[in-house]
Amino acid sequence: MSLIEVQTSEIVKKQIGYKWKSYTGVFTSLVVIQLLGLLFSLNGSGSMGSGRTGYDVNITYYTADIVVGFTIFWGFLTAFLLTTKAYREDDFAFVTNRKTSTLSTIAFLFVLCVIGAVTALLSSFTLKLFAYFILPGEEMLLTQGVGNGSAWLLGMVATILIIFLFSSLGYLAGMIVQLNKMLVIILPVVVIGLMILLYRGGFPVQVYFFEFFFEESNAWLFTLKTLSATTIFYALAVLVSNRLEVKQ
Amino acid sequence: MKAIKCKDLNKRYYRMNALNDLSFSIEENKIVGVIGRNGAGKTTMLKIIAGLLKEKSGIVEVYGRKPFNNLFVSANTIYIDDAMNFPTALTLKEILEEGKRFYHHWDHDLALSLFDYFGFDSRQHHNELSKGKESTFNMIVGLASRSPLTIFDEPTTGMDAAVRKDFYRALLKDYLAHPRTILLSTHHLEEMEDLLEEVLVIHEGSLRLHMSMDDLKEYGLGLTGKRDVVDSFLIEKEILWKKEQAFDTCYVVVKNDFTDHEYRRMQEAGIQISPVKANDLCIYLTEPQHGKGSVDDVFDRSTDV
Amino acid sequence: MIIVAFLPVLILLAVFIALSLLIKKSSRFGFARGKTGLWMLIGYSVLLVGSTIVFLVLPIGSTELRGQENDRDAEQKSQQFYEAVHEGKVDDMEEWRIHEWSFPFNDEQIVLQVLENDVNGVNIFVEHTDELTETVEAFYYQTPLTVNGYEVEEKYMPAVVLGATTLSIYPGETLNLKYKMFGTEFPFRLFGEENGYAWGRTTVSHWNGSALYIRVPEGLDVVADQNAYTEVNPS
Repeated sequence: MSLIEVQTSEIVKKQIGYKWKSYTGVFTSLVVIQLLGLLFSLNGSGSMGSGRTGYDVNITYYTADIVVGFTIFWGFLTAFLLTTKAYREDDFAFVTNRKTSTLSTIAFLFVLCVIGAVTALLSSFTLKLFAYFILPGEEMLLTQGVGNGSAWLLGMVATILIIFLFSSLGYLAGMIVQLNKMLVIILPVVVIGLMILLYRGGFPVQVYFFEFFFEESNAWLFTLKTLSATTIFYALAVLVSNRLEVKQ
Repeated sequence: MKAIKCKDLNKRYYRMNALNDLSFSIEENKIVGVIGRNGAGKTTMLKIIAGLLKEKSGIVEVYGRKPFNNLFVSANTIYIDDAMNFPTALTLKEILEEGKRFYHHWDHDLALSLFDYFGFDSRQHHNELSKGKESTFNMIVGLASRSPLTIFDEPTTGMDAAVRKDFYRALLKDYLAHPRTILLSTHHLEEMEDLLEEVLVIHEGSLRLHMSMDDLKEYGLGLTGKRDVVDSFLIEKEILWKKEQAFDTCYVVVKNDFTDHEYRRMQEAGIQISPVKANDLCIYLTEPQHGKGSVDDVFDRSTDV
Repeated sequence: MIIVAFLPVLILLAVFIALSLLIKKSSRFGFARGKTGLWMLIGYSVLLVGSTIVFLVLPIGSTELRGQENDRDAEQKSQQFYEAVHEGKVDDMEEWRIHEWSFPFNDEQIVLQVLENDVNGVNIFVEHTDELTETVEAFYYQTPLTVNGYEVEEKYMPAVVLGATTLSIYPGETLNLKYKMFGTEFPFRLFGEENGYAWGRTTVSHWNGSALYIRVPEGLDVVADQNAYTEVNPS
């Protein structure tokens, strides 16, 4: 048999296709979690009561914020799940090395994040339709702020970037946990403990984290920030994964 | 070029030495059996060669390259064991199609024919298979991949005798048509005697023996006779195994380097000379050094107390 | 409190773990077997795209929020309104008139009885005018109530009833208005103000004013509690 030289890019492409076909379970969890989010959203994201002479005004607000939030969490968990041994070993059933395996997983996660973001944002229409036809309320007011397509596209890109950012966090956390199973408990304790300590010490790191990303009103800066943070987290995950053997 | 080259290969798991200065090399296009007791380090060695584990020290080269984390080695190697982890979402047919996408030499017709021959249902999933069926399916993947280096780690686990026989035939036929390097670890050496060209005997993490199958068949000689008579012929001979028997007789397995003259003298002295089967020989060769004796001794001891 | 805040996260975590275990282990039992996930995604996408199309086609339309600007408008209007009421400029108030009553009355004294409750108090203004004889007129004015710049069409109205010598004013029924308001998701609100509105920023106008304006003939004695009404003398 003649020996074959293969290109990394060729194998990465094949791996992405392979993962798309193999990991269909992630879509089950996506759909279930978004439907759950929709169910919670039907309760309204908030309401406001207001009394005037002769009037009692009650406004319930509906947004798919919960769905988006759930999807972000799903991104984190899915990335975490893909780092577990069962999934990593699936890769090694066929041609791969760690580089192609990681690259294709990240690419696959990105595809997942796009799907998650699109469905999460579209689910807002389903929610509104439900609210419109089924839920009580005499009149309907719309705050369809996102009038033009470019604003909608911008919001979509932002959603993708946020979910992708959290997926990179999940991937990093997953890789760290793979080093030693005890870290499943130790890691969250350390992270949350550090957060509390720093908070006590006047350095609320989680607040800074959210301010850093979510109070950035410049779209370019936001993209830059999220993408670089995502890259850093994935790079760290790759470094950690280099300590892992494939099959034991 | 050598297909596989190992030199002073070491591997440790925590405090256990899995491989101890293992050195050997294998030519291209040979079928090599890897023989050893449970825990001898066969699987560890095969996984290191397949690039799935990293060696601790020493040199390991597959087609001149370090296998660990190497895409070239991965593309030219397939490692089949009884714990293959195929995605549960894919049907068996789809797994074969993935194999076709990944392996350049993949023979899809062969895969499908074997698939039908062994009576698989294309809608079945890998984790729904019984142990024997699973091994059979993995074997199909291993054969169809036509990888220049094909590694089977105990491929026959759970297979019944008929399927094992089919497997050996299929392997031999496909090997003859498409010669490639095949490594087989097995506990069924007697069934594979006609198949293997070379044998690697691994014992406690190091190489015990590496020779052609034909040599192995003649490697040992069994001598049965009165203890003192047999002993007198064993001076400066390598004793591989010795068993005391009733009435002052014993059975000794020795390395076969007797001259014709010695043969004649032994026959005259009334020693029964018998060939040693390769399988038995391997068992004798891999007898634990410490705590001599057989499992019988365990029970004898417990009756003493 | 902390547990309540983390409840959704915990629920999600539980659901996710349960699902992934099911998916990994249960293909023997048929759930999530093979391509189930993909089909679920396809079905779900059809639902989403369908509802998006229906939503966009429906005349629910996409109407821009007019909020703040309108609020300032309303503030001005209600100031104008109160000025007009206090000065008795009935003509100026015409556009805000909701209802009018007219009763024949020829006594010399009228008792004004205001049955109020705390919520629905109404400002009462009384004007003596020589334009009227043997008639009492009442007008109810109200500047529009707006929610997010949309005028509420249902109007509140007190009841005015004339007895033998008594003009009774009852508070009307409180109107319960329930609205459903749709906001945009937070990623749309990230960049700048103009892209979307947080629901917290919706406004119910604070500036709606109302008045019951009663005109009686000159010389008619109006008997009522102190401060029950304001006497208006149009100059």
